[in-house]
Amino acid sequence: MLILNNIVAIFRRELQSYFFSPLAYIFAALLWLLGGIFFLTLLIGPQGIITFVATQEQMGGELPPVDVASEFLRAFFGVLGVLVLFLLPLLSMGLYAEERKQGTLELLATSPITNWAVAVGKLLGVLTFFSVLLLPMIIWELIIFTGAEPAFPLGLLLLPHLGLLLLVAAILSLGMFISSLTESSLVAAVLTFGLVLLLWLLDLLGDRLPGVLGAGLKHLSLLRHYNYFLAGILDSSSVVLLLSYSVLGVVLTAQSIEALRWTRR
Amino acid sequence: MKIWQRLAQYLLWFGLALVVAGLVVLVATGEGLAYGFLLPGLVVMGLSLGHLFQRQGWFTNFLGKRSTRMGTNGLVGAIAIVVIFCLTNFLAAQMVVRLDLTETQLYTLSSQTQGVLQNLSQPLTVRIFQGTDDANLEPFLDNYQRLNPRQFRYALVDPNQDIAAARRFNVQSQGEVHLEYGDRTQLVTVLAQGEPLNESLLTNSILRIQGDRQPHFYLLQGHGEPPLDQSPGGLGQMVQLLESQNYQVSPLNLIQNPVLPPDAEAIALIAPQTSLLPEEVNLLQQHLENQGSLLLFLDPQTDPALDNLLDDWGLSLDQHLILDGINRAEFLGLGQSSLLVTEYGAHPITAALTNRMSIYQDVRPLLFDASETIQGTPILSSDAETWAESNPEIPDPTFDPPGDRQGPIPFGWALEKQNPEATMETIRLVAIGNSTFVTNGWLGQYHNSDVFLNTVNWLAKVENAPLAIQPKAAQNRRLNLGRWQIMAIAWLAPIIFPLGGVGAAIFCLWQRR
Repeated sequence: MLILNNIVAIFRRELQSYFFSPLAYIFAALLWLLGGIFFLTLLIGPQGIITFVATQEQMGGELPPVDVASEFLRAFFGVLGVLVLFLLPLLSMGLYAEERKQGTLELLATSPITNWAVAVGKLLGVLTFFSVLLLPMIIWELIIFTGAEPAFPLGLLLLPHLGLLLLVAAILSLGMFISSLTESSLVAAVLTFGLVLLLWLLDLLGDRLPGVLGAGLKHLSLLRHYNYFLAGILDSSSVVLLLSYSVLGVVLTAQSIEALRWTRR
Repeated sequence: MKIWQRLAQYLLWFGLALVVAGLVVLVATGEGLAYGFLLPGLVVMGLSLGHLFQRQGWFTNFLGKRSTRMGTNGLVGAIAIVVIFCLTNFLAAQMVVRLDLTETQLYTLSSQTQGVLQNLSQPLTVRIFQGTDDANLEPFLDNYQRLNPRQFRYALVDPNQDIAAARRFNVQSQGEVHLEYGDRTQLVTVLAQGEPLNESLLTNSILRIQGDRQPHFYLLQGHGEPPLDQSPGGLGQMVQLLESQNYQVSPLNLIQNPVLPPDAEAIALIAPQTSLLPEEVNLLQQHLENQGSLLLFLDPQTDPALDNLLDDWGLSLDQHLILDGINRAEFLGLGQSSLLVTEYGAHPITAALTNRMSIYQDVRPLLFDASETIQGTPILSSDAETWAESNPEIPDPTFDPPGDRQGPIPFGWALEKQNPEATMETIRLVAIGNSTFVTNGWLGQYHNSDVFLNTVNWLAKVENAPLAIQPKAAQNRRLNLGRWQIMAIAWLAPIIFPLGGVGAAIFCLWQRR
């Protein structure tokens, strides 16, 4: 119970810091601007799905059944997945690096709160902040899905969101670990971006390697598992993989802070 | 306390031993017994590691040196965590529970496919030669692999990077899908950019490559027939399609070598521009008497001098040209001489083609006199809106009786007669008054390739008829956006929300000051 209270305390402190931070709002504006442009372009732009299907229908001939709503959602979340890959290191870079810089990390490391409870609280805080940033996008989706004929099932609408949140949790968690290793936020952001890009592209690397090693690397790819969610498949191994990346990040962060405590002694 | 610590130490090794044993069993047998070792092993390891890490002093005894104690502790801990991460995911990948939440179960394979995959006796590899990734392809092929992970494999190959593989499979274009089963290879299809791979097509291809029989299909040459290459008007795509369906295709010139090949099950005469020699016609008749099959695609305004042979089958060529009275192919930029066919005769060739469109340009009618010995079915016909023009040369032809005949007019016949020498076997002939529908560019239009392939399969008496796997189609859904929805999105998404974010940032800064 005490641990839970500690986690909640850290979570609240972290979340409050975002809502009073101008940088966090700049991040939000950037995400909404880029997301909004892609949303509009993929929907009604010259190459957008609605224009594409309308042109095909006007040309006549046989058009195979197209689920415009699903195709749009998949395209948008595909872009959003790439977008968060670039943007999330900006959010995770300061999680510990800023504490180090300001000298508050020692206080945290030597406080009675366990390191992993701090890490969990911080991760939950940043994840909650990011989830709040998704709300406008859900509003945009609801606006256009009122025009779906026949109606779009809720389950299919939720699945890409679930996939995105798991992906974001994994990236933020790993970013948090990297942030705990350095004093420089910039170094943390660059290293996180590099690591996540590598995890994103393991799929391609796995294709190049034969046998079990190739298959193993492919399985560890973030892209591959995120795509399952976008395709409408709920796969237990994908959920486990993305969750385990989050857990890995938290535990490694706790280990890294533990090591810090002892090296500073 | 010490007892617990020592116990945890021993339990760690015991857990590790269980995990190793599980991995060995898994690699050796791949059976479920392995998980009986792996799971308890992981649990025991996790518990003992947890206990040991909780007791910070453990590594002091383990390593002895105080200075390196905590650093090593952290490193070993991190390695252990990564190992546990890998093992957890390895197990999760072995015991997958997958829910296909798509409305039409797009990623759930049919029972027929499951049966075909269970019966694979050799390793089968699907190679997709495509430079770009497709989000649909891998979940689809993963489903196949999951049904028989030992024998089914797939690889996405970039033909520009893996040149050796592209050369081995003679890849001509992006999107080619090839099968390799034992020492056999087969082209399945050529996917357009973003086009999904069809279950029916892939499963039937797998079924076909497993089959022992490879029918030999000969294409008669020497009378100005279209070339067998990829040039416009050529038959390269047709040959490629036949080879993809496990046919052996060879040109046959009976003028240069007037001997029927012994393995000729089917011979095709496609768009001859000049007449055949009487000896050639005799050889074709002989081929039919030997229970061979014959395919004839005869264009208007040509005379192949096949009268003797055609008379035997009750067929005669008509010199008219079928024209469409309401010019339905106009939207494709084509004229009255192009026919769109959606209704077919009741015959095994066309049984699965109801309401599926095929397109033909420059069609000649074929007449058939029914007889008791020959069973004839008009598989292709024009409809009531067409007529047979007797004088197609004149500009803007119109229907002028009595020279012209009102549709419907049959132009494709599937004929079958009992062989008098073998009571069970039948001799088959298909004659169609058009050849453009199988030429390059036209073969891929609408369902032309299905009409052609079904015809060839019927002629070659291919026994393992394709499995009737219902193609999975996405839910046909549209987004009918009204003006308010478009306006709302256009303002909210790229303007109002980002400006709100910037505004909030400025407000925060102002508050801080």
